[in-house]
Amino acid sequence: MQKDSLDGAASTPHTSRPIHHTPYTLDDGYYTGETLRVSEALTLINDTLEQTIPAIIVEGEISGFKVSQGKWVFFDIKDEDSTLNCFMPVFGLNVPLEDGMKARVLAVPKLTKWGRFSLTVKQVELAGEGSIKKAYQILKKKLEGEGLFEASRKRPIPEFPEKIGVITSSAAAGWQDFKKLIDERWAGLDIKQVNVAVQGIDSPRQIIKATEYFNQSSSPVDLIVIVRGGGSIEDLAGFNDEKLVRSITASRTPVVVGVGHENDETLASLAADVSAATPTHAATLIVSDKKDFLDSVDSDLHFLSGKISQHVVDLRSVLGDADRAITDYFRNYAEQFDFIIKRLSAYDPKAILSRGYALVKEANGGNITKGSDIIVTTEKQLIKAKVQEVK
Amino acid sequence: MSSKTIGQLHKELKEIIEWFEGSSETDVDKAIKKYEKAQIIAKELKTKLDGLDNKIKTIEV
Repeated sequence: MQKDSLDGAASTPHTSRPIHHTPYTLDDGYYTGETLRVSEALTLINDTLEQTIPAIIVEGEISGFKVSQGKWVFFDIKDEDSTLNCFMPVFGLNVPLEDGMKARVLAVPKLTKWGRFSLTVKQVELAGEGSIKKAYQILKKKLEGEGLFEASRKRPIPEFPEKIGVITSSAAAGWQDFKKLIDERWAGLDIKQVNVAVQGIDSPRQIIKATEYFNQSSSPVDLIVIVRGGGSIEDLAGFNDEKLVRSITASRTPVVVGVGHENDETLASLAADVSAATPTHAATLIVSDKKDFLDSVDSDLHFLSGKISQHVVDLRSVLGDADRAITDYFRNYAEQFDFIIKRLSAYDPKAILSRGYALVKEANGGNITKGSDIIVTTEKQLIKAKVQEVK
Repeated sequence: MSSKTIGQLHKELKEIIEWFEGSSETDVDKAIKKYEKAQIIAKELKTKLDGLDNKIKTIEV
């Protein structure tokens, strides 16, 4: 390196000066141009890195994983030949990591002030079936312990939703299947779909953002649906992201998750208020089939018609009962009347006369004595006579 | 067609059914009026479901 340049650098003020990227030319093996302080050189390198490699995705095996002071995560990501240092805050870690796991990291390359090159990790995605399954079990156990999958946390979805927020990729076959079935089954829905990546390292972040969008919208939806068709275990790995799971459980709006095929289980599905096996299954859980629905309405009308007929029958029954009661009353009354009449008839003098007896009265109403005029009444005759003797 | 939603109409229909199921009244006039209302609701439900399309809008956030 040219000595003059070094001397020049020593005499240059070091604070707050602009760092020039040029000229740094090679002249016969010597560098020419401005001499920088170490911190300035570091800034220049980091600026250059930021411009040329703003972010990088690196896949490798995790080693040396450790958490420092409960705040910072350090690990190396390596392959057979090379190793890169990684750093991230604990809260940014969205999947469980252990040494030996295969992972992809989305990171910003950076030279630290200690001159150590490291990747500041923004997102971690597990790679490889073994790592994904292991992380899945670790995280599932942790979240189960927190009660996030408890049935008591599940909320019912509305019977007749009107506004539905769908989170999926516009290009996903699962979305096309979902739309088709919804259109076949129901009508009058207002559906807003947020287009997100449904696989890949940035997928969880996008889905979380879309969930937050629907929860914070001034025109809230009745439910949120997250759908994606089937895929490999790696394709679906984003749905086992811890932050995504937590955003689903924290959602104010009920969430339906329909991801993968029949046998795929993701932590997002376990956290959802309603878990559907597939996107089309989600559609059937969200809305009824309109033909079945209208058939049931017809059945309801038929039921009501039957009830009215029953009302008429009941009314006739009531009237019949009243009629019988009135008839019984009068029959009873008549029987009593007959009985009285018969009893009275027994005391009727005419009845006695009819049996051959006669009624004798003193003509003027006095006592009967010898010589009294009397009136003798028989059944058929009225006889006037005089008393000849009284014994 | 009223501005009532399908959910609101269905709720009204269910209320009428509950009235019939729970009522011990033998007021046939009242029952017929309720039945006529149920018929109107059923017709409106059919009109809405047969006549409306789903609106789908894709948004980026």
